[in-house]
Amino acid sequence: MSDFVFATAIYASGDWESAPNLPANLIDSVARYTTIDVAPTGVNVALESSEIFRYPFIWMTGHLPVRLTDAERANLLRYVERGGFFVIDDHNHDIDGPFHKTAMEEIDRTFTRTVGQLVDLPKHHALYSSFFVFADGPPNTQQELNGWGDNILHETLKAILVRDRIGLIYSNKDYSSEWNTHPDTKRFATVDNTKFGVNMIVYALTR
Amino acid sequence: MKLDSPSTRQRIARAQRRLETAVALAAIAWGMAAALTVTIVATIAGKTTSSPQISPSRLMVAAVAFGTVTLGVLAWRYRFVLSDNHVALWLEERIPALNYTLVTVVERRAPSAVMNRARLDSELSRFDLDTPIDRASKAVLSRAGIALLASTVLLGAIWTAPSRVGVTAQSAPAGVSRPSLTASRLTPLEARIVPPSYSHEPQRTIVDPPMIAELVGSRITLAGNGDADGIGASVTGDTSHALSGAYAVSRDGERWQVNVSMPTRPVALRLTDRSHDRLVLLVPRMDSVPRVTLMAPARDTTYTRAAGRIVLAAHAHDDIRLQYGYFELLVTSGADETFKTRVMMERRTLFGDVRDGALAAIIALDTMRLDPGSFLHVRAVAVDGNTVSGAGRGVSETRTIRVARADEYDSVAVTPAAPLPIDTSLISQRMLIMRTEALVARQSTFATAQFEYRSTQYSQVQEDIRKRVESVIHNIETDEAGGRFITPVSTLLRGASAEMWDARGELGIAKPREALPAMRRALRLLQKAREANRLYLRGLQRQDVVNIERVRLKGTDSGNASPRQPRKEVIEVRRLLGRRVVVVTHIATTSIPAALDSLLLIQLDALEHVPEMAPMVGQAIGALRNRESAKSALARLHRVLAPPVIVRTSLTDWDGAVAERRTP
Repeated sequence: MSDFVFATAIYASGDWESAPNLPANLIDSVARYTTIDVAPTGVNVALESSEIFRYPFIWMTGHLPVRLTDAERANLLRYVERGGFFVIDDHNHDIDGPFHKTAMEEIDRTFTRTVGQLVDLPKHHALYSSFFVFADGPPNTQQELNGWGDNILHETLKAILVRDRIGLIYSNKDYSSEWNTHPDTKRFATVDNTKFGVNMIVYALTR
Repeated sequence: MKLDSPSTRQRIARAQRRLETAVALAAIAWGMAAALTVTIVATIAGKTTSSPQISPSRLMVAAVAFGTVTLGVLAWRYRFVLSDNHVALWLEERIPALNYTLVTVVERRAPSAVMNRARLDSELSRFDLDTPIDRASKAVLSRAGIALLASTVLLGAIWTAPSRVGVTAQSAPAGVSRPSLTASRLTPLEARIVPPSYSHEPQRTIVDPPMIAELVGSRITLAGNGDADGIGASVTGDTSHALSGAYAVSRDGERWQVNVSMPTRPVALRLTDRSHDRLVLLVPRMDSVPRVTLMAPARDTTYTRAAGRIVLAAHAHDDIRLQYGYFELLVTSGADETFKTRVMMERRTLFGDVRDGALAAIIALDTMRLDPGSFLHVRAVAVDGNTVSGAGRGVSETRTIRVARADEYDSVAVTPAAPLPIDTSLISQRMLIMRTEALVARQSTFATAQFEYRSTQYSQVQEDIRKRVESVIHNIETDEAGGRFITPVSTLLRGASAEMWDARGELGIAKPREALPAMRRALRLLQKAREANRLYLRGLQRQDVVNIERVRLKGTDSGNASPRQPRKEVIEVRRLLGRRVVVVTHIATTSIPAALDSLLLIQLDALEHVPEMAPMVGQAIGALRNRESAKSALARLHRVLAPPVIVRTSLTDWDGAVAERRTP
């Protein structure tokens, strides 16, 4: 069995590398709380490359407009259809921002006519109890609580479901900022805010 | 001097006329009866067998021909009525007491007739010549009349009888035999199609269509002969479909009709006429969004300062009609976590209802207020004229134009690195081409042996370059676990390697002039490979290494995962369709119409779930409709829909289908 490798998507139009500490932080959390064999470093993989099919979990974020190329769009669709788990997180936390608007357009263009539309994940979804239990749904981030971005507490995550399984998660909650810290800073926190990331990864690997 | 007796002659002439009239009328009646008999036979054959029905025009020709022949035969048989001698003989046979007196009178040359005319007339006046005439006329006419009447009644009864061939499996409940007393008004069925006005497509009419494939929103009028009472129209199958339910059937003169609009999903429209029914598939042809290709700028670019002009060019194509297009510009400025975006649109270009159009514009970077570190995203947008479901909007790929920050003026934020192997191969190939061109130019100054030696040397150099390219290909395509991934760049490099191989061969046999085209093609492919990577490298992402062993299970929370619930069974539509095809194969041996209906419903589901299989189902339907054997088409369809099950003894690694694993 090979190690789980945390992959970050490289896409042509935006600042894909805007959360450089996030991979290490989540890798650290996976190792802290689970027995999953995880690679010590993440990888960056081009969304238009067929290499994305080597990784069951891919994280994508940014501040800038998302304009996928035809190759990126085709790969993303194939990846989700074939059981991959793709996370898109708005690093702006702003529903009026360029990332959200353009990402929504790209998701609609890629999935609506083939797989289906984005739907709100209910709070009792298996994602929220795949490892840790989040009874109130997705945990809020500091950006939301401090009124950053659109000043809205987004109560749900949106998802593309493939045969009742999450294929793509879209987040307005800016987990990219929340988790973009060095892994060692966890010891200073009262509550480890990366636990929900562990849920995502465990869901991707076990459901 | 007249030799005949006027009174006897008159009597014979009158008798002859009466016989002629009777024969004529009888011959006509028999001819009509014969024509009706032909029609009866054809109608019985059409209603009781599966053979193709004869067309009405041909039937009429056959009936008239047979009737005419019958009339002619009878006229020939009773041609004696045209001769007074034969009429007299005929009367003599029926009145033996005449003792050939009548014949004698009729015969002009008989000497006895000339001498005893008055006496013969006087004797013949005692005999009643009318009664045999009447009796014979009545007999001939009554027989002909009865034949004509019988054929008419029989034909009427057969026309109104139900057809055994037209009954489908769905027309009667199982176990109930309830023959209809009326013919089907669903055949022939005429479909008049009016496409949406924006498409500018002409109206058309189809007769007896099993399937109608038209643009969404097309108005379809299905019509048939007969009144509308008892005709039903409804959409079968998915009751959640917006179109499910009954449609109103109206009357149009002496025909019935029902109006439907082409839906957005394939549906089966079921027409019923008492115990008859018929399926017509409505298959929507979707109006695609326009395809837009951004021709210029050709690739992403970074500018050191926001000055100058950029030419924008794009091409748009639509399957129906383009309406207008424009360029969309997104300017994003900011840094770290704060960004602002402005959306701008260039002036619209009206296409004037054509299928292909071009967009062109020039933007001045000076006027766009681009700060250092800003991004300009450019794409072309085209809109079609769909007025039914809303205008379709097609967009091109996006080009990203970046303005470098002041602190990255020279490096454009690219971490300096050694030249890529592709770069060195590019340089070497360019040098080799120059040297080969020089060799070719100076060929006349070289001795043959020297020329061959030089060419062979260049062949070796070309081979060295090719091997370097092969090693780059190997690095790109393989991973540590032995998998292989074909990429666009490696595909270009493989092409370059192939051209280099050809060039090497030509150089090796001292033909540098013939090698040059392949060498230049290889160079172009190397250049393309170098430019194929569209990533904007803004620096390498720092890779923090986590000490897994140090942190393993050091978390204070152990988690409380909920048990996994089994997921819903995956309904393999293809296998289900494959099983239905097997059932249809059996049905086709007993009832072709039932098999046709079932295949139409299979095609409907195939259009919805497995569209690539729909044409194969159509082939099977076509074979059955043409009364050909559909066994091979059905068997092929079954093989594709329900392939044999593959048993695996272990789980496979999680990866996509593109990886090619080599056994270590």
